[in-house]
Amino acid sequence: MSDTKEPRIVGFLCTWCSYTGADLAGTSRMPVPSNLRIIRVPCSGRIDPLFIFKAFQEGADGVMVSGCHPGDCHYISGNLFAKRKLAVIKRLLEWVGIEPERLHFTWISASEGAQYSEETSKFADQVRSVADLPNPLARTEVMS
Amino acid sequence: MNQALRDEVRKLFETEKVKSVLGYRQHPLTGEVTPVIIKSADEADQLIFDKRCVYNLSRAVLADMDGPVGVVLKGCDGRALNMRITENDFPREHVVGIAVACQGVVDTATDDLSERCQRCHMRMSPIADVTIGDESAVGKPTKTRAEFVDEIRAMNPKQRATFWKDTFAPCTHCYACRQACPLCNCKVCITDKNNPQWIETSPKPSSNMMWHLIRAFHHAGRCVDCGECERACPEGIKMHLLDLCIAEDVEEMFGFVTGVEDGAQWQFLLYDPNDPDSWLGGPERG
Ligand code: SF4
Ligand code: SF4
Ligand code: SF4
Repeated sequence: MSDTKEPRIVGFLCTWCSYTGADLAGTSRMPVPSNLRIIRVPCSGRIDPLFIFKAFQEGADGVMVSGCHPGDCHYISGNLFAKRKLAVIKRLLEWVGIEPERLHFTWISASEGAQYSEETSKFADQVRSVADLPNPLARTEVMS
Repeated sequence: MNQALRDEVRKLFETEKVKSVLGYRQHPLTGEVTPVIIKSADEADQLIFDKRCVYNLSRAVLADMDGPVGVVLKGCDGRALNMRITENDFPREHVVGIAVACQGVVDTATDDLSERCQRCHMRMSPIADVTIGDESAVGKPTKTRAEFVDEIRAMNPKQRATFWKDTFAPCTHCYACRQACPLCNCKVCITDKNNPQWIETSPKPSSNMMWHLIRAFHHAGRCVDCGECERACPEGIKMHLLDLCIAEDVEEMFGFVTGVEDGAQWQFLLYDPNDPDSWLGGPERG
């Protein structure tokens, strides 16, 4: 982990809505946090809990998942399946001591560049507030 | 009880309702209670059922066994078997449930009533083609599941992290807990996949956490609380506590108790358009 306390954030965005929304934010020159690393997934329903656990293990301080609004999913119901999974992932991570501030789940459509900009900035601030605390999933061992 | 069990099993063989029966016997030499497969009516006399019959025999049913297979089922075993049928491991006709009135089994280490039985609210198997013993005599739980997780609920994130790190520290990634679990029925377990390798095989704090997190996630809404995982662990790790924690949430969110209702799907295979956004934290966004 870096010494500058600037958190590392991984964002899983679905390609149809949120990724396009992020694109819109970019092309409209809206501010987005520079420490957010985006991973594009076909659908929020593609999120396996392992993606999130692995991100934390490899040193992410916060993880964000965003998909299409319920009802707008390109695959009709992917985001509704995702909602159940993400809800359980969130609870599970809280049970093992991940601060709820480190996770953010949301729906952002392709036209909501402004909302993308606002939500990611807010989330970055939120993660910054807990980034100094030890993350129970993070690798503490020295890798050979 | 034993005599009734033997008589019923003999009858099942004689009427050709079963080709084999999975049950328990006392080993003639060591005196230990072990699982046994019997294949004819003559062998029925070795069957027993008492509080030493800890094993969950639903784990031992295989789809390619010569069926129908009779299985001696306690409540928890029956719920696990029900879940396996729902998940299409084998058809319902493949098994004949021999439900025994269960008054709880012992913790083999201490000889006291095991923890899972103290909180067991369903002691009769939901799969019961024949029933042995007095259903009304099974007794009631003395504790609730919530009592077991309250200790963790009261902790702050930092205490929780330390608690689990210490709990999992002795884990050697032997996966005995997986082998014992009737619902660890994936053809290839995620721990055995190495391209990419999600769960590192060497034991260390971060990989211990990865393994136990994914284990608990895969059991959320599926675990029947039969306690086999903890019994199997050579290190005596109480890893099943995490399953209990998440089971509390699954029941609260989805109102679902595993294996009780026939054909009830795993809750992740379903959705309801009205599932609240508040599950994800934060306000309703629509
Ligand atoms: S958990 Fe319930 S059904 Fe299973 S052995 Fe204990 S008392 Fe019997
Ligand atoms: S996780 Fe443990 S208690 Fe739950 S079904 Fe599997 S073996 Fe039984
Ligand atoms: S049985 Fe025990 S030591 Fe083996 S993998 Fe499971 S928790 Fe770890």
